[in-house]
Amino acid sequence: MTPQDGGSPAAAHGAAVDRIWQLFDDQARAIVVNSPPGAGKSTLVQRTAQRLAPGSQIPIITQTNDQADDLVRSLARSLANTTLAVGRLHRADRYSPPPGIPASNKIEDLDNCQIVVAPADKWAYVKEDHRWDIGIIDEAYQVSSAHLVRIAARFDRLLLVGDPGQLSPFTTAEEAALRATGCWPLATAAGTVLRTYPTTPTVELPISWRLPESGARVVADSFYAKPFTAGSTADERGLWTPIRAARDGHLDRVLETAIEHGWCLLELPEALLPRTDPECVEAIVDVVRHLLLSRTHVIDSDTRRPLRPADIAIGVTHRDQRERIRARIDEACADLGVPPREITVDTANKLQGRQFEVVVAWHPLSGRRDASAFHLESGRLCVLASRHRQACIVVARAGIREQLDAYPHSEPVWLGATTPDIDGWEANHRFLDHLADHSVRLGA
Amino acid sequence: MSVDVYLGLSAIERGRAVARAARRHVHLAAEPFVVVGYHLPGDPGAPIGLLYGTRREQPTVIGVGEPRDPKLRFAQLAQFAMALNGYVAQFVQPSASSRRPQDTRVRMGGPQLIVANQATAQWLCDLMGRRLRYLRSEGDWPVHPSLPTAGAHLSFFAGQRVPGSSLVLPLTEVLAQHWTTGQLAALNANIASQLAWISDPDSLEEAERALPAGPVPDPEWEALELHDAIKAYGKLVESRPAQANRPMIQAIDEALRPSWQACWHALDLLADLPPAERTRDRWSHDVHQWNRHTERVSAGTAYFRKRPKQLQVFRYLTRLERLTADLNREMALDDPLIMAGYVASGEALSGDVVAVDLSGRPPRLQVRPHLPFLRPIGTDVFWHPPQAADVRSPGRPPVVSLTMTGTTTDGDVTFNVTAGAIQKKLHHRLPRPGQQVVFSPFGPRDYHQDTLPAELPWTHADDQDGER
Repeated sequence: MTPQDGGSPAAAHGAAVDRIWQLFDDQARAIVVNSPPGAGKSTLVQRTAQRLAPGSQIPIITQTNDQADDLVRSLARSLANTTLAVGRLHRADRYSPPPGIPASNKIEDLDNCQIVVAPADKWAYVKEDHRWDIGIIDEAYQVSSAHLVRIAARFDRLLLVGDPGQLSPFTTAEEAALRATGCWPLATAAGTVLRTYPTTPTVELPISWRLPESGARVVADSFYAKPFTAGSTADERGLWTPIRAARDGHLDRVLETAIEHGWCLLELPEALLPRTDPECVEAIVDVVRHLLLSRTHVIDSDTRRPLRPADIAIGVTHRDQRERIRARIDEACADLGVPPREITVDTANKLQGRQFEVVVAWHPLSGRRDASAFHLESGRLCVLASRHRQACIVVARAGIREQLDAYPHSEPVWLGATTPDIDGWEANHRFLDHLADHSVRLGA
Repeated sequence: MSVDVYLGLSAIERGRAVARAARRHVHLAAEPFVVVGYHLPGDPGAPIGLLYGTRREQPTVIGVGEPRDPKLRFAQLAQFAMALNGYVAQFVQPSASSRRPQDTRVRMGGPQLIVANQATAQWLCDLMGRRLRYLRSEGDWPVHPSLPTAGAHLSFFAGQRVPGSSLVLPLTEVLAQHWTTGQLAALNANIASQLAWISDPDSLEEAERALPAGPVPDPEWEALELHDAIKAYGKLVESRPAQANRPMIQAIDEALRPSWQACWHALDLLADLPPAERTRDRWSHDVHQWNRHTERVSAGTAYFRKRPKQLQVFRYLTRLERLTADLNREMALDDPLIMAGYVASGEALSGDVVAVDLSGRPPRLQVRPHLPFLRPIGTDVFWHPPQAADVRSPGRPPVVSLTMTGTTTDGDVTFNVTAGAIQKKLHHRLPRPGQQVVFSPFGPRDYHQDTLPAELPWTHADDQDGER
């Protein structure tokens, strides 16, 4: 990242980072950093922590334990040649920290660590008189107001970094009962701070390093209020397959379309089916099998290498969909000599923050007769559509548009609720608009 | 396929609702107070009429001849308020010794409000409670003193509409908890058709044509019957004011009598189910809440906020999440049919014990699952030994914690005991070879101290209004 090469993505990113650090030095009480998918959010958190750390201890707040573990691992790697140490604060019961990382359930034991990482739930158990000058919230759009209220008093200033396009915090409790109170305890941490202090400086990271040019264009237009672009050009990324005789018409077309455009919508005949739609499962497994058999290569800048099973992920909406696909995909893999669980299959919740070369996404509205708020939430589709570095293949039943148009909006409007920047209904339509030109119909 | 989808499909195939639960997971009071009613469409503050009472054959019927006349509304509602206040007064504890829910001296009696559906519960408790509780019995616009008291009670009931509580039972929800019909979930809000699915499928078509159980009346009924009754009131009010409400009372009685009967029928169906074990504990908690409310009422401190403070909402979220989890857990542990759903979804394991190895520490178990158990190694599950096996601690039922350690080539699943039966003297808690067991993700109830601060931190805006 050299700021000198003006106009380049790196320069734009560098300028955004410089602005964040400037705001820090200007003693801003809170800074919100909006980061589109793969915009170097974790790197920013790391580098900021590193920059601030020599003087004082920097606490980092994550949403989940897994995120905290991932972060300490990568921090430990990048701090390997420095005098800084990263520690992991954790719960009292059984927990094994990543190897080589100092870990404790008492903050006092980690006094020697310049950076301490823990999920919000854990920070809430640290004594309230333990204060830090600055706290960094990673995933500030996943950490909820209910978490923030329990931890905020410990930090005089906050840097809130997160991806506004991701899934909002959710609860196992009935939402209506909470909404009726006129205040929403599951607002995002970033949203809460922005609501309390509307003048809070907000910095947008302008570049997605993960998404290819094709991906960034569609995802930014469909799911984000603020624009962003890809860090790579169209010819720096891509998939490549050896020329061969077509053996299976539609699967080859799926692959070709995905290679050419970075997107492919595989449309199955319209039908209303339970969410574990067996034909969708088969279609997804067929696509993945075809990907594995096609000897596809991944192009990334100057390198070209074969697409490995671990480069592929399948994104779904429900856990029972995951179980179905998991079982069938492992069978298919066994036939091809690929070890089980090599290919990632998971729900949008679990895929947040991860990246793969190719993602096969099961559209959340596929085959449904309702378009409930859960399925309409733009974050869900956005997460599924923004995990890939090369191409994303969306599998869905035809008729989603009609269903979006026909399904009455029956969600109540609540007092005191903030309007989301992006409307789920609109986002779904836009996304399908983009994909319409890259669709392959099965059985048509 | 999830068990709920399977049950729904079976119900369609059989043309009759199928059992979703083998136990009753709500408490049924010996003498519940049943209410069905209508309000003007679009104006929940304007009741048209109510049927209420504790006697199945003899509901009290009130009707507001001109529902748009607030004075008349309050005059008629005062009758309801007095009846409700009189009903709940029987359950007021004489002393303040009711602070502790585990106190066995506390009578198991508490008031119970039965309504046809969730919408009625919301209207009656949340909206009418709020509407009535701020009224004053003196000053410029005095109302009957029973109204604000009833408002306070209804507001209490509104605050207790949480998972696991039996103080207010919206019957369509409770029925859907215990039976799965073949109709869409939204249609289950109609108590008549839901009951037809459960007990008399032949009458389904007729039931679907039945007038709604409220709180919003049928538009056609509104256009004809309500219109006529209001007109009749207008004619009578000058000449024979004592008779003026009669036509409305009659119209309401005719329209809502079937729903009134349906509510009692639903209670009969529920009463036939054997009560789930933990229902009793939940009810004693309900009674405890009720006692605290009556103490506040008698001390004159039964305040309700117009809008809850933010910190209260955070606390409420924690409470709702805890109650939701507790209810799911307790229903599964109490009810084999509910637990079967967790076995089918792969979250719980049902199987036969193949081997128990007590030689090592910790003891190890090998179980042959009835359905594949595909959870990852390291998954924690819990075994609840049958109660009789333990006499040591009668108050607290024993729980054995296990961790999955692997799968054998035959598909058996192996476990290590991690708590509850490691010491030799506790080995009797473990199942024996050949015994059929269910290991579930539901452990002992865990208590977490809430970490909510006493004051809102700087990140959160202060509440605008400090009034209560």
